[in-house]
Amino acid sequence: VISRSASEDGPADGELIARVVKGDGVAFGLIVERYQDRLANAVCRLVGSTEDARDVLQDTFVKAYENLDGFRGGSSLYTWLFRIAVNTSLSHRRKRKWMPVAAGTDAEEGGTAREWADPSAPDPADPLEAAETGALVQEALSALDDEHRTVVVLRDIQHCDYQEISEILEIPTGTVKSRLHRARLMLREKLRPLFRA
Amino acid sequence: MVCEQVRNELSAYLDGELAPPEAAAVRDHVDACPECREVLEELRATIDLVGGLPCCGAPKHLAADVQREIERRMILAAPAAPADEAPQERSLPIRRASPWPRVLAVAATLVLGLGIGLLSYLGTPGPRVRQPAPRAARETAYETYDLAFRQAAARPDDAAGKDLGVGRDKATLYGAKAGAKDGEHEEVLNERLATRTDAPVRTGQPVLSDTNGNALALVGGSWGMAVEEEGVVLHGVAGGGAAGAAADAAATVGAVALAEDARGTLDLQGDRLDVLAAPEVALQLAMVSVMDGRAGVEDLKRIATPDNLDRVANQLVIETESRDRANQDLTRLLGANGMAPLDGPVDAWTHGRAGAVEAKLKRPEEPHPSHAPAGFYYVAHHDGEDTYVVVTDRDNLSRFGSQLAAAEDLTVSERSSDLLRGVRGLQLARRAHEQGIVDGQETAEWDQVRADEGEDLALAPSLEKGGASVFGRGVSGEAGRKEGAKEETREPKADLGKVAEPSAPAPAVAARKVSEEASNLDEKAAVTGDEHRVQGEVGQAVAGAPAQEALGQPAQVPAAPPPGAEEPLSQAPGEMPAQHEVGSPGKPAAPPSEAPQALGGSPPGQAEKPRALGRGEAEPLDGEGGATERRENGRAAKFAPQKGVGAPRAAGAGRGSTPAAGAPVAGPRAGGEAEGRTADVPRAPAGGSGVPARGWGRWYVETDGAVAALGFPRWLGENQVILVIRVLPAAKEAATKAAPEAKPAEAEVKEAPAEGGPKPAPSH
Repeated sequence: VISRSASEDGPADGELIARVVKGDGVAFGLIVERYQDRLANAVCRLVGSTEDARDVLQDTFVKAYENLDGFRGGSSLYTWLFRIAVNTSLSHRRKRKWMPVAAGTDAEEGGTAREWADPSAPDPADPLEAAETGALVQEALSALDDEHRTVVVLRDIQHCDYQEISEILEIPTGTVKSRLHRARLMLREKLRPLFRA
Repeated sequence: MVCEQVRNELSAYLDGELAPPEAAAVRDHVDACPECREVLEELRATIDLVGGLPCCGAPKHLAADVQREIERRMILAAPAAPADEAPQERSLPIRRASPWPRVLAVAATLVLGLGIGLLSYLGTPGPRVRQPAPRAARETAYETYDLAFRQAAARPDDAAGKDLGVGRDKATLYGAKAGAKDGEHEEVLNERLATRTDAPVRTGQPVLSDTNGNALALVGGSWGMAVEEEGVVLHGVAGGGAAGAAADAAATVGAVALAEDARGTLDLQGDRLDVLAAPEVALQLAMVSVMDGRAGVEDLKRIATPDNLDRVANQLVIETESRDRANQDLTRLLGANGMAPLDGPVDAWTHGRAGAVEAKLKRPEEPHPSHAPAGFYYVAHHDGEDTYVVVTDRDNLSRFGSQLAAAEDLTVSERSSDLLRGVRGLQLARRAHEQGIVDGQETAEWDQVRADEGEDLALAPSLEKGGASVFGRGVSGEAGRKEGAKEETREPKADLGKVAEPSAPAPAVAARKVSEEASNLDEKAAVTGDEHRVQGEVGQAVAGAPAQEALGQPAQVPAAPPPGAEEPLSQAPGEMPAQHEVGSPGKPAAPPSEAPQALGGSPPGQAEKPRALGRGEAEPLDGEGGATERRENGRAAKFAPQKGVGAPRAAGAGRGSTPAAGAPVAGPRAGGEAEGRTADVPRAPAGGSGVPARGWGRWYVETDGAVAALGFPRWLGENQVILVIRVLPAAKEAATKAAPEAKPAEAEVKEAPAEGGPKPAPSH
């Protein structure tokens, strides 16, 4: 996933970055549009709320804009953006004294779950059951501590490989492996009722 | 491999992160161990559940949100001004096009004074004053807004344009949905702008706002914005296709910091031009900065590059009021920049004031009565042609001649962009005319013109396919002003290229056309006796001819046709020009024998409509026939009816006090055209003040001797007009020769060089 640094139908990331650094605001708009969906999915699961995710995403791109001239290309743009997004998400949760919020509470918060829904996703056979399942999974995910939740999101939602996760979180791959395993074991305990169902 | 070891590897095994031998070992163990297999399946189920969460897409308008947040942070990052610097920031001048902003400023000062007094009384601090945002912040704002505008243009259905508030009719310029603001919003916004003290605004342009409440002006295809916080302008940004329009837009909303950017441009020389990606805007504003006295000529010279040399040269001439001095400066400038020296003097703009000074020097005895300045003019010498640009209030247009005569008293334009774009409009209009661009045959070039200049240069909106030529609409003639019914039998006249009367150099005729046009516009038709002196002065300024005879000797100015030929301005034989009747009763029109000859191309009796320069000509009004092409002196000129386009004089119709304005359309069309003509009257605003509809290029005429256009571009004040007359070399040459030698008209015509002949020597 991360290796898809250049859009198939647009200028390469490096070209866009160069343009932005030279003052081309349009190029940054293209970067936003290129990566906003991929970042949004991860951020949404990291912070557990679409409203919070909206703020985190905005902050992520603003920070990226402010620091793009310092991006040296040591990693892919996506990796760099995701690192900013993860750090911003965790920071956001800490600042908000985050309390786990089950998925599905967006409506109560005035959220825009419908707006965020992937229109291409197939309709579940039982929307109510799917919503309940999703809420439980999100609740379990949100109950994890930051570092465990992050690796789970990166791997099981974003489908990053260990090396990519290592680069994003700037931790050894061995740590990724052990942290991910522990996170899944914790999730397993919480989600076991769903297995039986 | 024991169970504990295997279970620690199960996640990696499921993820395919194990090396093949390790993966095989795990697989073998799991196959043989039910407990570990159960853990594996539970982990797999866990992964599936997490991975099965619905995908979240990005929220709508994220890019726009990011843009706004970037700008907001830049604003917050702007340092507060030290107290001792605050007054200076608050007193930055801003160019104004009309006295109204001054009135507002005074009123605002009073309001502010009262407010501060009250606040002081209450023990609360006064309004906070900030320094303009750092340059980086302004650049960022420029980028972000430009990004937004571009995005709006790229995605017509996107809400970005709506979010920006680029509503109303201008929204289509950006392909954005109409995000119209209601009148109340605009009223509130204008009220806020009117009371702003640190960055006054210029009236005459519609003001919108973005969703953050920042004042936004759209001029043509360009935009300008004043980014504010708590009523204080932090910085201004502008961009878009036309630099001058962008500068005007910025000035409209009081984006005074942008003008300061121009000052920064001077300091940065070429750097900022690249950074802003809007060099035209920067240069225009740099010039404005010079005009406003915030920068000097030396600063201006420093920003010269090979690419902008022409414009800098023009501005240098304006600033130095001397082409000779400007050429000297340019020579030094070129040498300093390692560029080749000039072969000769640069044709460049000169300021009307310089011409007046010159005239004054030549005629020290000539009194220059003082008149209230109500306009300005420029004389341009470019490529062998002389161009007069007059910008004045509509009500004063008829008296522009007086102002020219007293040129030293004229208000110096603070807006060089007016001049540059006004003349550019004429150039473009002429090119379109020469190319025969008519409705339905618009070329890509003209499309580009419109894209560059926006509605200022837009074609008449109601042009119909197969109708008139785009610029075939002549300025009104005199006869139609008197009695339109007689016009149908008139000959085409006013061929300025054949003006050869010693006392009537072509420029004088051109100037007279201006006067006539002014009269057509002015409901009072009040033309003072100074007009004749003005004509002489203009003639002198243009051709360098000794026009002193004309000065103070109005009787020698051609005003009536010679026997057998109609008066060039379409006055009916025996009739008195309206301007004389109304404005100069003591100055009778010259006898027919004194009028210049050969101004018409058609024999008497030919049922052609008067030439465009003829006063009161009826043809331009709503003709429904096809285009009529005539050939005059071997030069084709199209004069065709143009439905939906009003003659200039119609501008005064709303007031109903000018006979010309209300004159019936000539000939058999008169009655039937009444309705259409009403529709042609330039639209007045809701207030019914009679202000003509905005536009440029609607009234254009070209003869062998001159081209003229009258416009009401949007970038002028509501009641202002711009009149541009270009005297072609042929007419100039003829006038130059005719004046000293007093040759008969016919002979002079034969000797007159063709257009494009040798350039005349600089007049000074």
